[in-house]
Amino acid sequence: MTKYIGLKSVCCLLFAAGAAFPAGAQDGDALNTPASVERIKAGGLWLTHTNNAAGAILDNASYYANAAFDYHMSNGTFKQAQSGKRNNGFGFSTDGGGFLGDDKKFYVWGEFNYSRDKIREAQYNASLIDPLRRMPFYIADTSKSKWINQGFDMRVKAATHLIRNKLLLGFEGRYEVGNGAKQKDPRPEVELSRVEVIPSLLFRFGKRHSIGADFDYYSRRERGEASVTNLRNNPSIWMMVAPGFFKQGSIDPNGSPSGLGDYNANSMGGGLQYGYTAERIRIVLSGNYARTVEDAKTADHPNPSPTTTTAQSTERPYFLGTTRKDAFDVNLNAKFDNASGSHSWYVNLSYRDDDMDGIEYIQSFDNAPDVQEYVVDFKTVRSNYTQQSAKGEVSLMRNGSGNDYRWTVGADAEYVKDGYIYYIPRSTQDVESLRLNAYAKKNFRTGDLSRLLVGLKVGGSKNLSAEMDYNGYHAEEQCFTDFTLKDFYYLSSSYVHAGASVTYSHLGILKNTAVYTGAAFDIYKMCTHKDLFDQRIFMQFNLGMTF
Amino acid sequence: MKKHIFCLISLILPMSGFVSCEMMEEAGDAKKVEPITVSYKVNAVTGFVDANGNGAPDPSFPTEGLQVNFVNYNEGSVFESVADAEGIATTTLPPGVYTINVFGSVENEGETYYLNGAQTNIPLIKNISREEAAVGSTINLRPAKVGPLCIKEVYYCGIAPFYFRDQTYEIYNNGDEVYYLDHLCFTQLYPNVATAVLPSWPTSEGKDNFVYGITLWQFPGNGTDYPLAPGESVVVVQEARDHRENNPGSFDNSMAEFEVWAGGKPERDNPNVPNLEYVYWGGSINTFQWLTSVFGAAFCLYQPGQKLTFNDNSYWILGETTQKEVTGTYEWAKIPADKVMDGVEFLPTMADLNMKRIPGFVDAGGFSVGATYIGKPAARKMTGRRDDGTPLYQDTNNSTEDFEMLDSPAIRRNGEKVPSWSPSLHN
Repeated sequence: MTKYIGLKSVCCLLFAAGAAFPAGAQDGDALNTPASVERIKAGGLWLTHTNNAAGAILDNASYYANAAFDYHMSNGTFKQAQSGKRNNGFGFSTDGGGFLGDDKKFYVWGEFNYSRDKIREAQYNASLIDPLRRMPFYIADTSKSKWINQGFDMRVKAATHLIRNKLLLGFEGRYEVGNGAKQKDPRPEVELSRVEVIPSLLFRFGKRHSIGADFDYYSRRERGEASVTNLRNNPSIWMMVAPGFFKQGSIDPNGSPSGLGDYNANSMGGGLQYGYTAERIRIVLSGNYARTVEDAKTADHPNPSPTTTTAQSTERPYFLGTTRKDAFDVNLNAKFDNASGSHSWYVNLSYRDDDMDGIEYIQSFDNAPDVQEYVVDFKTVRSNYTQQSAKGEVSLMRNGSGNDYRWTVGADAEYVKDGYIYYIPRSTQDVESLRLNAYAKKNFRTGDLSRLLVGLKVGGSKNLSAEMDYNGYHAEEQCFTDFTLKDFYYLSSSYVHAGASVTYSHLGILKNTAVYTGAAFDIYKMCTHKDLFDQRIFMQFNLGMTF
Repeated sequence: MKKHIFCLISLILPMSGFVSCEMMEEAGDAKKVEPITVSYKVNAVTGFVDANGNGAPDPSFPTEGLQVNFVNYNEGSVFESVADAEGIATTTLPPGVYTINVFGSVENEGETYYLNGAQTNIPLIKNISREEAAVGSTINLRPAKVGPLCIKEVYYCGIAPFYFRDQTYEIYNNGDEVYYLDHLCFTQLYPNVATAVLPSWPTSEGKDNFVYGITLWQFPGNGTDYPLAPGESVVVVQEARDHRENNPGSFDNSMAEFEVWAGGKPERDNPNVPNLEYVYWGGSINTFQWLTSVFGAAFCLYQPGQKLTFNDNSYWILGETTQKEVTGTYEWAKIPADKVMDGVEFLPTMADLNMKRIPGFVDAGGFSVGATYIGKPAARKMTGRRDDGTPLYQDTNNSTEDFEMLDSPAIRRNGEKVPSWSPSLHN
């Protein structure tokens, strides 16, 4: 990787994120620990489960702040080809929120995350920092390569006090910057940025009922440029338009247009919320809709080669394709406390429906001297991707002193249906899965100033149905047999997983601060397609503090 | 400063909204794809074809039975059809950018003609009826009589590391009568590299009435000095020597009949091998060597019927024997279609057929060895042998079908005979 995010800008953003944390000592009778942060977030129904920052006032969440460094790694063959086999990285994250001001009427919450990851032996991706983000238009190649990705994102949420005892105003802003570099030819350097704004408002009717709305807009750019350093080869690539549908090409040593990508996404949407608050019950019902359009184009080549022995990159930008996505979701999130307040039940139900069209273009080059551009002659929806998921989650928490909990148990079930159609020649892929998970955590009081949080989880995914009907033109080619087909087997696999985590916290080393260190281990084991996939393990170590 | 930041944000947010709305509106217009049925008419044209592809069809020249393939190189799909008695081919396909390939041979007045041609990068986005095809969607083909000479083997890609001085071209008499090479021009065609954006020529040039040469190397002689008998080949090389001295992976082409030495670097001129003379060189002249693109250039054999001279202003006249692109600076040699004897087009990869840059009557297809510096030649497929043991090669005027990639370059690999005047027989 040759480009790094400027230290100066990182420092500025760290400061900005830190500015979101309210100053002053907390008012609780106990210090926050990682378990406290979990409990505060679980209880923050508006803050955690909706885009309406104004609702944070109704959460009446306690002040908290958390900052941690982590080192993480993963290894194993149970993965998608683009994911990399043996990955590791480190990160820094901090988040916190609380009421501001002398009268503590304004709520501010902020988050900052930085990560730097090495993804090894990744295949079939020469374009995207996140190749699994359901963007069908990209460049794939076969070389097993390392990607080095780094980036940060920060989010700030703020809510006003209750205006005229009825109205709350909120705002959420998010800014993300990242870059990634593939380490083998063709080796793109990709940069991305994302800006999101979500203004919101909330009307409160009496003490129990509230109705909110938010507007969500984001803009995302991702631009990459490929180069070839081993000039003896011009590596083969595939320009993907859909799973199993692609055009084979090559990138010449000067970087042909097919090695360049310019992704531009805009999303607009909004949400409506209803909240009910009683003495021991809090319920938030929310629904969101967003339309996201993302153009994928080649980019202008900055330095066309003057040499006459290579294929020069004189072509102007043209569309690789566009995605048009409509996403809709409804969510019910509730918290129930028992009479004594010693136990809390949390219920989260959600349904999500994504429908994305893949638009392909017919373009021609207008060779008129004053134009010299590609123009769109025709566009049609050639592919469609759908995903429906319904998820139910319930957990019980035994509350402890302050914001801590003593133990918590929970389970969730999720039904996911993925569908894909390429219209002509008609090819389809449908996968249905049921995922079940259960977990338990115990927060041991190991001393007056120490806690040991131990967690166990088990789960699995059962494939309910899987069908692929491919009628494309590349059934014998490597990009189909080794990539598309294998990816289908991955998506339609059944697996089990188990994990354990342990976090030790020590309080009082610094004033009002708990210092903690922890480790987590997860293993995923295949039950089907064992000839292709085996298992994958994830490990994480962290060191942080809460206050 | 705060004021500036505020102004910037005030501008950026509404502008983002406008851009976003425009993007969403344009994406919102896209409808689900539906198949279309298209008809295309195949005409045989022997006269001038204008810039829009319109020429006076010769109704007496048959086109029935010609294979018409609608090829979408982006998607890898081929939709096959056959021209009917009216010369119309019909098929159903998804909208897209197609290359319409027509190939086959017909008998006319007792002689066999190839009718090979292609229209590249044709956007087919709506139904085209037979009636519409007859008046608009036509492909005009120039019949080509089967000729004796063919470019039999080309070794253009070089070998690692970056060695290209062994580029070699072999021309073969595949016919049944002696052909005199005198005055024949071995020509590299423009554009140098394959491109989807074809040159824009003045409309007076019409369409596919000419091809345009970058460099023309003319064989010497006064008309009957350099006979090439059936089964004989002539080898033209960039530099005639045992290249294994420079690169162990290369080969020996010192027995070539001619070098194409550009005049500079005298140490690269083999005195035992005569040089062809360049009689035209468009653009800037590279006297170090005549290096054609290792990604694949296009070549033809052109018989002007007379001795040509470099920089002869009485012959090379803009608009008559040379031409410039509409926005171009350089002049390229203008070669009439009926003077082209054989041609072949090489591409960076076989997936780049949509970047074909020379007319279908020269080469209805294209060929590639797939990569640079791999030491592999493109060679014509052998179909049999004559009684004297010399090979016969496939020549349908479609290099996609006619050529194959071989493991290593070689001279006269199938027993081709050496012409009697070859310096290799007398040195």
